[in-house]
Amino acid sequence: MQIALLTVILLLTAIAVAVAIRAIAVSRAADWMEMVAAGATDSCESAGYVGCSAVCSGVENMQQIESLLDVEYDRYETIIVLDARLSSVTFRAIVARYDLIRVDSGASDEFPTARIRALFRSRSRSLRRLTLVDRAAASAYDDLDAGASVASYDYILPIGTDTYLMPEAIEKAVIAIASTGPGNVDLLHSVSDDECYIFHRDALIAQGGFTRHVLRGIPADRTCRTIVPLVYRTTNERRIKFITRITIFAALATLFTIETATLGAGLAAATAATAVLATAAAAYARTALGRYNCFERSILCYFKRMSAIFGRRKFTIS
Amino acid sequence: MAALLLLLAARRRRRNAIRRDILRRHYASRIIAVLRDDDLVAAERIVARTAAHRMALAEALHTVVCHTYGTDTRLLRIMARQNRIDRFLMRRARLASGYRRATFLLLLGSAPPPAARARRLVRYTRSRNRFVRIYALTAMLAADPAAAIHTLAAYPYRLTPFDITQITALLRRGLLPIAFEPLLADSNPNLRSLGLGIVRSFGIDTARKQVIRIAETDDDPQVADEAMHALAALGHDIPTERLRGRIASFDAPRRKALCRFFAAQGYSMHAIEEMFDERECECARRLIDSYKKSIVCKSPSLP
Amino acid sequence: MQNPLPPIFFFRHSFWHIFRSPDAAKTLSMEKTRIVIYATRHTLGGMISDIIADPDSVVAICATTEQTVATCIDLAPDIVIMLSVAPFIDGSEFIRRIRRQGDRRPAVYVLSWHQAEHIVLSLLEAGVDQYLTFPVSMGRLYGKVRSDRDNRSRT
Repeated sequence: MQIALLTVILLLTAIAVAVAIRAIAVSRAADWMEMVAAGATDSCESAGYVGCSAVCSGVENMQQIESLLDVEYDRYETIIVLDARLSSVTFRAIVARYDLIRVDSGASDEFPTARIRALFRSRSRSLRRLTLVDRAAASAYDDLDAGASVASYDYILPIGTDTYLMPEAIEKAVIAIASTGPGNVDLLHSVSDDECYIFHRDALIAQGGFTRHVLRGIPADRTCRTIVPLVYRTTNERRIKFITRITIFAALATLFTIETATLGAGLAAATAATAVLATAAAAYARTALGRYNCFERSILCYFKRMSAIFGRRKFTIS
Repeated sequence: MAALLLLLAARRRRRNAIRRDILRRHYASRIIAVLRDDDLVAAERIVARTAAHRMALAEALHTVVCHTYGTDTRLLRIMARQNRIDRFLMRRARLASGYRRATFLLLLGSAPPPAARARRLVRYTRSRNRFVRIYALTAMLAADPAAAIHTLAAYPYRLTPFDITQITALLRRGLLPIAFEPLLADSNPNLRSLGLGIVRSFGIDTARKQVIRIAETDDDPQVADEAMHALAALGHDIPTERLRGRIASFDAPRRKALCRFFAAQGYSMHAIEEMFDERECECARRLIDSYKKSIVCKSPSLP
Repeated sequence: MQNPLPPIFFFRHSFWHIFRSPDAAKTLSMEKTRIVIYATRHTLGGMISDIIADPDSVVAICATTEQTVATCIDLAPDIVIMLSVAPFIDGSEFIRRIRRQGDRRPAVYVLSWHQAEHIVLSLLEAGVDQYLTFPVSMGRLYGKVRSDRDNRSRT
């Protein structure tokens, strides 16, 4: 019983400390965003001429494509990878909408799994930031390799289905990269509710392209972490809300019952207070950083962060 | 209690943001009215008594200074000095830390203190926070443009590309009248980097020979790399035979990035093949083959 | 902090409900120059509005492209000032949408930080009438708007 009491107390203390640290990090990130908003301009000059290519796998929503193109930053492009045979309707719609034509493309020795069937770019000068890649459907990682092989810029942002950019996400990302000095960052990791990674092209090539374990090969000193949200996802929001609420409610109810019965009402109250603290911190993070996803994702984020401490990170694309 | 504090902090942040926006808009409107009418009396009537109002006035001044040029700086100085904006921002910077301090120093660049008081900012140029360092430097440059070269030479850290663009932003606003020629010839790598940044930012064609000389002979590989980028950005003929040897001395990632940059800037495969190895040219060749033909041959403006 | 606020719609020197009536809009078209400004940053949009506004003009500031298009359709402005290039390079055919209604063709100005040649050419190809880079001269901007307005009143 003493051991159980001690374990619970240690756990609650660890959670409270983790929440406090995260709240401080959120506050710092909010200050960073304010500073960037006050000082930055929308030109590539203000970000040290760093370029970013958004490579999209499995993106078939026209609204999502429009939002990915709606970026003010100059050195930015969007590369959409689709299988023209499987997604022929969407493919033809994109080609028609953006006036794309087929252009020459060659095999890439940097990304051997790229295997592009055809490459399309727009006739219009104003749409030079859009590229459409036709390749046979395989894994999302191979799609991302194909997109990275035709990217013009040094940094690659993988985008999956139902992933949208936060306002001024690209500007914030390139400023975070440029301010560390030239060539110092191989990976920018946004540890927000919806995680996102921006890879340096050469780091990807050194790893043999995109894989689940691509993060392992990038040293920590060449990784820049930020809590600033860069993307948000809209997949399964209602399901996440429902499941999260039910799970949290059930877990807390079980915990309180057990604690009240075995360890005393005081500990149950401490558990409740910790739960309230975590919720308040999630609410603070949403206000400070401006989130576009549902509140329940912010709660889930805490569990993801804790599980990340124990397990090796894997790179996944939705 | 902690949860309550967090919720109150969230609520306060949201309300403050809205209130500051309204105040900022109010002061920006009054500043523009003063500048449009060249009204000295109206300028003297702009009084910010509370800290929130002073902050809003500082932000409004910063917005006006950043986005306009050719305005009567005398009127802006009157508005800043009579509200002691520089003292207010320096005091706030002293009491704050991290990115908040950087924000105050950033705003100080638009309402700079007198040169004597600006020397107190030197300690911030040694901060661990890179944004505090660069914004302290820009505030010092804005406060004493005459000593800009000396201030830059005394900066103890290597200027990043982001830092250089922040300094060139001062030039765009006309706050820092320095010439690029002495910078390109200086022995300090920071000054040479800044000179190259100015050449690239303003597209100064007349600096081409000096940039080629730096690209060819500079001891610092980072400066040489920046010179290559500046040369490519200028868009003129490149003396490929002179630069090939220098490019060969770069490490592989730098060479590949440079090759891609030349391709993206519109140089032909012939020019690129003369400077880079066959293997490095592959990526550039694919980019050029896919890109240039479609833009050049099929532009809708052509019949 | 210049956070983009939720879409906020401002009217200067006028009342919104007046422009719900097409007849009222036509009446006002003879009296005042109508200008629409698109700005994601509230303070900047207000600043531009203050620079160009005078007793002979009505200025509306919009925070989103959809709002700008709706306002242009309702208001039939003489000048549209965009403080962003994204609507012209994202394939949304912004100019075609704002010039769709009626026979009034608003002059489109773009104010931005971008210096790259391909951006400027893209804007001009898209149909932008004037491109100005920041930092902008207040007198020059006001002069251009006034000159455009005077030319329109003559024709």
